[in-house]
Amino acid sequence: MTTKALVVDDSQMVRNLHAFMLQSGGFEVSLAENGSEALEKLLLDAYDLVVTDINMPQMDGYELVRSIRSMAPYRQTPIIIVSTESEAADKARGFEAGANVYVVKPTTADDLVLNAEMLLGARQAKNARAESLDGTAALEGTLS
Amino acid sequence: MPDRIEALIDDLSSADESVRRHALEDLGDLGDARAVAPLAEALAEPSAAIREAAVDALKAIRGEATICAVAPKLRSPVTAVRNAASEILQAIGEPAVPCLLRLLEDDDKDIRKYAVDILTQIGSPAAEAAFIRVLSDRDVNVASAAAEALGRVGGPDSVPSLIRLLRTNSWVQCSVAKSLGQLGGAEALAALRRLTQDDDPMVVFSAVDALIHAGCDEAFDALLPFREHPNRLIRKRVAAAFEARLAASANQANQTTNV
Repeated sequence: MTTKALVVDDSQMVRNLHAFMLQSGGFEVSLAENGSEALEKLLLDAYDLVVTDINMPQMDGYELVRSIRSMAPYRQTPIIIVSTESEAADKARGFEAGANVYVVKPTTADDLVLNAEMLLGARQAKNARAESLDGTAALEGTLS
Repeated sequence: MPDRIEALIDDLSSADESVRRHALEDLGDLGDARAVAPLAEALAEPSAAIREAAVDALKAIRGEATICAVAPKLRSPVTAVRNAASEILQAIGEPAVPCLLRLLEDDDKDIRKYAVDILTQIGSPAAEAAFIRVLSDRDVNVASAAAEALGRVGGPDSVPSLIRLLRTNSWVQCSVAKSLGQLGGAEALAALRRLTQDDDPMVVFSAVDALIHAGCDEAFDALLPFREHPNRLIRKRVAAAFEARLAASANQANQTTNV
């Protein structure tokens, strides 16, 4: 099964390059030019990963991340912020909003793909652990 | 008794958001420069509706006072405020260009990047020479933004400077490739052909994409071998471009026959 990623950036070149990196890593990629378009796509389809810029007109990346986190199906979805802003305060704001990883541009394919794989792997492991705990609880329920 | 402008400025301190919003709208309509400073402060209001009203009012007032009050907001720690300042300066257009050209020399790389982005949106021809200088910026994101901008506001004079930049960072190479495809010409096409031999697949993809964008016969001749390229994404991109070109020429032939 392919992993679906949504790349959000107001620069067409950045969108295309991030898509190229992720597609090379085996991801299926959709693109959004701004926060509103991203939210629309997230509502219409299910995504496993979001990669977003910060400085975008109308809705900035922090607001987008907060909106994504308020959507029930995306509370645990890995979100990577990719931005030119490299100050610690910017990163802190990104994490506060709900992002999992903050990567400073210019991005390399390794930065993006390895972080994505790590987050998705961690999420799968967490889901597997939750399922196993549920299973144990169910088993204990049956035995008691 | 305070005059109308002063009364409206007082209204900006009202606890009632609708009073503040109406005051902002009226101040924008009246276009008095005395309102600029309080309007610029309103860009940091937590309410999005108030911020939008302040942006609209400042876009309506324009002028040197607005530029001077808004440009420092690009340094705000709040992204929404920086975006608002950027939107206002873009809307002001040419009169904001001298201020933005000065910001290209700023110590803060983020401010230099904002200046490049806003100047690109304004599309001022005066920015070309400045962008060529910015190609040697110490920050890769700023240099890359300038390289990309030259594809939009540059002319043939930009091509040699862009080509000189091709021996730097991959990300800059991709920006240069995009601009060379937009600017076109024999020198740009030759550089793009060389770039298609790069080791980094992302750079090759960008060079191929730029040749597709250039769209001329010479560019498509250079793309022929890439229909068999080992990288699936590059192969797919080139195949789609040849298909689109074929469809376009068939369409043109049909139209000629119909005429």
